[in-house]
Order: sequence, then C-alpha cells, then structure tokens
Amino acid sequence: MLDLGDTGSGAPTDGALVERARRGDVTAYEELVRRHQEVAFRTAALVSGGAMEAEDAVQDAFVKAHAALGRFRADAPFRPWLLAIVANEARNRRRASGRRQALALRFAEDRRPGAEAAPSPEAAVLAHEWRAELLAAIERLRAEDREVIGCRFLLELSEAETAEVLRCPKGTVKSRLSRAMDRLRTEMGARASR
Amino acid sequence: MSEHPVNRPDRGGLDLERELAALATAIDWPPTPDVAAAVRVRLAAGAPRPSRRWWFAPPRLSRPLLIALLLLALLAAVATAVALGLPGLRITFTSDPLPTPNVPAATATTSTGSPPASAPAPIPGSDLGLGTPMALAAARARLGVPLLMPAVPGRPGPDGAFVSMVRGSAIVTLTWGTGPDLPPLRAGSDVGLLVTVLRASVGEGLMEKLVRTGTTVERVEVGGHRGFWVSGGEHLVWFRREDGEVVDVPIRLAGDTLALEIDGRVVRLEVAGGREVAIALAETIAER
Repeated sequence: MLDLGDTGSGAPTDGALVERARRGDVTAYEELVRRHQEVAFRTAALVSGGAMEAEDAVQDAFVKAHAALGRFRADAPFRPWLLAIVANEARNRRRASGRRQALALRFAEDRRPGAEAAPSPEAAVLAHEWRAELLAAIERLRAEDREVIGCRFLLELSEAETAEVLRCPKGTVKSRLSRAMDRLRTEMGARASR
Repeated sequence: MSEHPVNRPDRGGLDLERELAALATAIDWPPTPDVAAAVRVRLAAGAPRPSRRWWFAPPRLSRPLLIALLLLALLAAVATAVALGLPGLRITFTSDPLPTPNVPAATATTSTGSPPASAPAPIPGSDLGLGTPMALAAARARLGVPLLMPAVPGRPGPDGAFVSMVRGSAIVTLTWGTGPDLPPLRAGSDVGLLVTVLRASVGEGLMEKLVRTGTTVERVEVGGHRGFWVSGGEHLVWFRREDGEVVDVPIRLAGDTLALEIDGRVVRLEVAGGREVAIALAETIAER
C-alpha cells in the first residue's frame, strides 16, 4: 500500500516524494537526493575507492534513478533500491579506471566513538593506534571482504540494503560477512603478534 | 533501526564487531558534495522524465529483421559517437591525460618572467584538479580558437596553464600566483587569479537554476559582453557548448565568479576583492 502521508514530523515520506517526482516534480526529487546523498556518496566512495569517482558515480546514479522511477515499486523502500544503482555506477567506474587501491579512510582525531569518559592520555594513544590498525587491516582486505564489512559496519547499512548494494541474497550477506570477519580477525591477530 | 550483527566475543578476546561499530562513528569520511544541485541542473537540462512503462518494448519481428535493425541502430550510434562524442546530459570537467604527452609541462616563473634557478616552484593551482599542466602555447593550440585573458599589472602572463578535455572539447584554465596585488582566492590557496576559457555560451536558464541558499546571480555586461556575477560561496557553473551539450566546470574554490560570453567563448574569472575588482580585470580581457 503506497504511503502518501508524512513521517509524522511533517516531512513527506520517501514514497510520497517518489510519487510527486514521477509526476514531474523536480523539487520533490531534489529533496529525495538531499535526504540520501550522504549515504549514497559514502557508498560510492567505498565501492569505487575514490572520492572523485564517487562524486561522478553518485551524480550519474541519481540521474539514472530518476529516469527509472517508473519501474520502482512504490511500496518498496527507496534507499536500498537507490544504493544498488549507486553501487553499480561506482563499480563500473572502478573497473573503468582500473583502480585497485581502497578508499583511504581516516578517522577524526577528536571524535571519540561512543559515550566513553575521556581516557587517560596513555589509553587515548593506545585506542588511537588500535583503531588506526583496524582501519589499515580493513583496507588490506580484498575488495569483496572490504565491501561487506564497510556496508554493514562503517556505513551501517541494514542486511537488506547490503544485499542490494552487493547484488546478492540476504543469506549470502551473512556468510560473506562471517568469512570477511574471520579474515579480519586473522589479520588483526597477525599484527598483534608482531 | 538497522540490524547490527549480534556482538559476540571471539577467541582471543577480540570483540571485533563492537570495535567496528565503534569505528563507524569515528570515520572521517570525505565531505559529501552538493549532489542535489548538480542533479537538479542535469534534470532541468533535459534528462528524460520517469516513464511508467519499460522504455523499450520490442515488437514482434522476425529474428533476421530484428538483428538487422539492431545492427543498423548500432552503426548509427557509433557514427554519432565518432562525430560528436558520446551523447549525454553531462560533460564532466576531467583531468584525464591528453593524447599528446610530449607537450612540455608549464613551470612556474617568477613575476619578472625569469625561470627558477633550481627546482621549479609548484604551479599555482596544481592541487585543484584543473587538468594537465602545459605550456601556454600548447594550451592555446588545444583550445582551437584564440585564447582570452586579462592583463594583470606587473605580470607578463599567467603562471600556470592547464587543459582538461571534455568530450573532445578543451577547457583551458590559467592561474596567476598570489602577490601584493593578487591576494589568495581563499586562505591557504596559492592562486590569486583563476581564468577558465572554453568554447561555449553562458546558459541563462542554467545559471538561474544554480541559485541556492546563500548564492546570488547577477546579470552583468562588461565591455559590451553579457555575463553573470555569481557570489556567495562554492558553486557549480554550467555552460552550453556549441553543439548544445551542457558542460559543468566544477572548480573547487569557494570563490565569487564572473562569467562572460565573448565571441563564442566563455571566460570565467575568479579573483579576491569582489565584483568591482573582477570587472576591472575583465575589462582588460583580450586575445593574447
């Protein structure tokens, strides 16, 4: 059943915006883009391996998604469908550029995850080094492992969304994630033992 | 609420799921560009509206006839691509390598025009993704029409020239390094003046669609040439090429911009100091 209402906070739902965009309301589509451009850009960056490629890919993806709105099932969630298009564009660009390196992710020095109390300086340094190693270990994984870990943990996509991005069944996401995590543990274990 | 995998400690005491979940909140992602504005412009420039039907419903044709039609369509597409470049709504300002690698790269010179004694200084703007650096003469040749640029007092010419190819058309960007009369375009920039030249016209409808919160677009006329003064922060600038394609020139500087259409070319000028400084420089634009 198509929800043409609002989200309860007064803002129209994605479904309502899609319906308006289908009728030619570009402003409605622009609002959809604004809502999802951050996660779309980050997904593209993760898959393509570069911010520049990601920007081009996500723009093309949104234009293609607009053209394909007629084929979009109105009762389906918009974000997974969109991210599948984004990932496809990003993957194409990565293949076309021959890029092999992963996106060089960093973490904000002053952003301490969670609601931890400020650690001692020594603990802060150790935590910083640990997270840097974890990020480096992720970047050393092969693309398939990096993508599934990146989608589920770094982008915080749901299993359904990850399945759309990776173009595989939900069950395959589980098994891929399990294997990727095993390889990451091995990688981190090997680093720790040095 | 997204479903995170259940936390479970593994062998060796490493709670990797928890660490990864914590890492997610600390990632310093690249800043998200303003995709919405760019998409809106592309859609306004003529992207097809969404259709409620499949765009292609093959008729019931005999197999040989269908194959013949497909081949004809393929040949037509190839011919079009060769003649015009691949059709598309958007032509991207790229920094792809040009097919003439033997053109000597531009090197920075001092304001007196003499080459540096030791290692050449970085070319102003070389970190902006403006394209392939090259000598000014080579950049002129790539443009295919006479190059337009302002006269900057005390400077014999630009310090840097870059060319980017967009679907077979050249976009030439010239940079002048900072100095007493050319403050940096923004804090930390080594560019005091940036001029982009391409064969196009200023798309009035497109320019007005760029207006976003905090950005103003003002029509101007300088030396009898029409154009726009865009102010208020970083923005995309779009032009319509001779063959009708829409071109975006996303120079990634938070600068106010003067864009003028001069005899089949668009000259885009960024300089600190505001509208009047830009107009004063633009009044000196000539073929050089």
